[in-house]
Amino acid sequence: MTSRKYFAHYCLVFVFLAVLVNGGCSRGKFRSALFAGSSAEKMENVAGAEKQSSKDPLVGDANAGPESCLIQEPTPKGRKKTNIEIRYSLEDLTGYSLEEAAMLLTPNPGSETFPSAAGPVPWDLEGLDKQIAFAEYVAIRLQRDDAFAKRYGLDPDRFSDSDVRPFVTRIALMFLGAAASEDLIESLFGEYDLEAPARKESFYRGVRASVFRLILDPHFLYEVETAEGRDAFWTARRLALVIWRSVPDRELLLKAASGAFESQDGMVSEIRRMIASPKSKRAFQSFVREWLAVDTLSNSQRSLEKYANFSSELLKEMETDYVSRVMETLYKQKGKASDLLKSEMTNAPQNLQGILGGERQSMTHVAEPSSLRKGILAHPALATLTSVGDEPNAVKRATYTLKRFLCIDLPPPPGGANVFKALDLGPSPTTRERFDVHSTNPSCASCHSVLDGVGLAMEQYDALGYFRSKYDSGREIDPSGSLAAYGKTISFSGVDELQTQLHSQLRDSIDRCLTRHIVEHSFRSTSSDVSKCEVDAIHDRASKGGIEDMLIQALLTPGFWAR
Amino acid sequence: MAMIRRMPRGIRVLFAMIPFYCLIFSSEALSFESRPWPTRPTDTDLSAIENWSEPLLPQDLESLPVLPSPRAAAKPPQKPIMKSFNGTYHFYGLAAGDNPPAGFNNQGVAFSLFEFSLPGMVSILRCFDPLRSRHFIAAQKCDGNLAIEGKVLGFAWLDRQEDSKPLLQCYDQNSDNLLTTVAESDCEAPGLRGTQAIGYL
Repeated sequence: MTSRKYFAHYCLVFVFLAVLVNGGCSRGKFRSALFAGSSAEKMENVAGAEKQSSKDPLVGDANAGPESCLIQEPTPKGRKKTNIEIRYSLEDLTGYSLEEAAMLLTPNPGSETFPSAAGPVPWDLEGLDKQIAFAEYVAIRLQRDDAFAKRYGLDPDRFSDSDVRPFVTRIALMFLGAAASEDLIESLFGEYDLEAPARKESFYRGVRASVFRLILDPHFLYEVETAEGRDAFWTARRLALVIWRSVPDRELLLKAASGAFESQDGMVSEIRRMIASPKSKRAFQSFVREWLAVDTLSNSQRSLEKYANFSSELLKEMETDYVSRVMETLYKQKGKASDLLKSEMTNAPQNLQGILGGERQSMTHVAEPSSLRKGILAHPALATLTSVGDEPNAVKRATYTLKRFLCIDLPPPPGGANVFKALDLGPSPTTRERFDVHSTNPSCASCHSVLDGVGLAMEQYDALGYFRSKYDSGREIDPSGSLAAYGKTISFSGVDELQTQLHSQLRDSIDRCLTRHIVEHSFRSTSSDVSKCEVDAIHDRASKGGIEDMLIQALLTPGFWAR
Repeated sequence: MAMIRRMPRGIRVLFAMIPFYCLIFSSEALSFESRPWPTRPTDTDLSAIENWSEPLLPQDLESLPVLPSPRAAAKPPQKPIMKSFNGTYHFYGLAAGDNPPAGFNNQGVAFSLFEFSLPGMVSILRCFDPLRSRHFIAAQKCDGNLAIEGKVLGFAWLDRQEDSKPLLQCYDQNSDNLLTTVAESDCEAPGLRGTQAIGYL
């Protein structure tokens, strides 16, 4: 009898305290607490419960959050940082621009294509060789730089021996985001021979050895992931890599150590602080450059017979103007991707004004119907990027537009796709006549039925973005076309109408596409690895805000931390 | 003890169960990750950065100064090299204790060399050609294994650095004289040719 009473008390108290300790009667939490299953299920239930209890308006109480999407168990993995991440990290750590020094690094295959962060970045011997040369370059230049030493709290003109250890510890902690072991710090400290006759020279040698060693440390070169290595500092390093593409600053490390990430409010507050930093703008700008593939613009070649004003300065102006217009709309005005289709091209730099103003008038080039060119798809940079030599390439233009703005990524053409070359199309066939061949071949038609309309609409911009009404052969350009995507069919004639139709009919798909790119970029995943469920959930929650809210939503998602 | 005995039996039982409650709530059965991101603290000692104020970066990160070259960072002192002329050949020497032979007239400071060497630097020497009885300046070794005359005059960068000027040498085909200078215009005079940089200052 007594034992029964004890058992009853035991059960009652157990249930009561289980509810009390877990902070309320949230069904998901309680279920989690009592029936803890797989990690993924735990994340789903717990995050769902957080959603209910959070005070942050961003988190909201939407029924279908990204937590309800199927996610995988966290798996330990590593990733070599991209060159841009290594460069930005060192810029933040030293206060110097490393644009020139970064030329020493081998171009990363992963950063040549968009999205750059997808998948592991390969590490080869040639890359290692370059990495060592880069580390040496930076170390030699910093060794005698008193400003660098002072940055980390030591004045080489007057320092006591007791100043050196904190200095070494500081640079090790900051370079490696608090992942520096005591053994490592001790070995770095061993490089400083303070009893040498030339004490200052000896200190400089120590700086050189430390910097060289830290730049080649796996924790600096890699996003290191081990199951046991996932702690609060790992969280800080991951946040810094995504928001800044760099290493954590002092404040972020101290916040991690103080337990600021224990609460969601603390996490959101820290993310907001990081987003407010200029480092976040720099990181987003580098994302935009990769998204729009502007780095390939400088490789463009045109014949001076046809384009007398073609120069590297013109390409540079195009590139800068293209990126800054996107940054203005998305970052400064907190607009959406679809807003880019409406942005006006005012205040263009001098060299671009000639192109936008239609100054190249001839038999084939005429003044543009609209007095002011509008929309990102009409930017001369896009026309230039998607041309080969002096010839515009309608297929390139369509694939570029569909992939980057509508997330329609078509497979590469099958072998022998240039079938029209074998056909007799007569002298100087128009692009439309060549495209007509696609409808006769089913293997071509599957992709070209999507591509051709968009490509033809952009035919009125030549290989440098001047407006034209005729081909060089003198034949008229017919810019009409149609596009069937996401259950809608739109018809248009020319880029202006294409953008208007996209904005009115497919605006939501375009906005979701940018969310997908940002999520893939943040998650370091390929498009096949991020589910529509996750993208939609993040997009819906952040739909009232701009990039900042989208990033916060992505970073609060269990799926982000599971990758 | 008396106070505990006066308590209702139910309360006493609850107190008696306290060790079990502690055992239960510290068990794995009820523990779970409260956040999707890791928050596990570590014992990493951050005291070195706690009392240090990290310098702020400028708002415009594109305006960061360029990583200084070793030359700019090291700022090695320089020493003047004097130039003398005997009507045919030049003689370059240190300002003190390195007087020119008889018949040479001092023409003032020609250029300045670094006093000590850093990685990437080359030594600048004065050489003597006994066949022509001429003195000339060369980097590392005297051309054609001619005698090194005197000490190393100083050092110069082997490769071009930021803000550096080339130390030029040109040949006077009329007099066989080798002129060393940092002024490009000096080597553009009539009869001078074969201008080359023997180092950078």
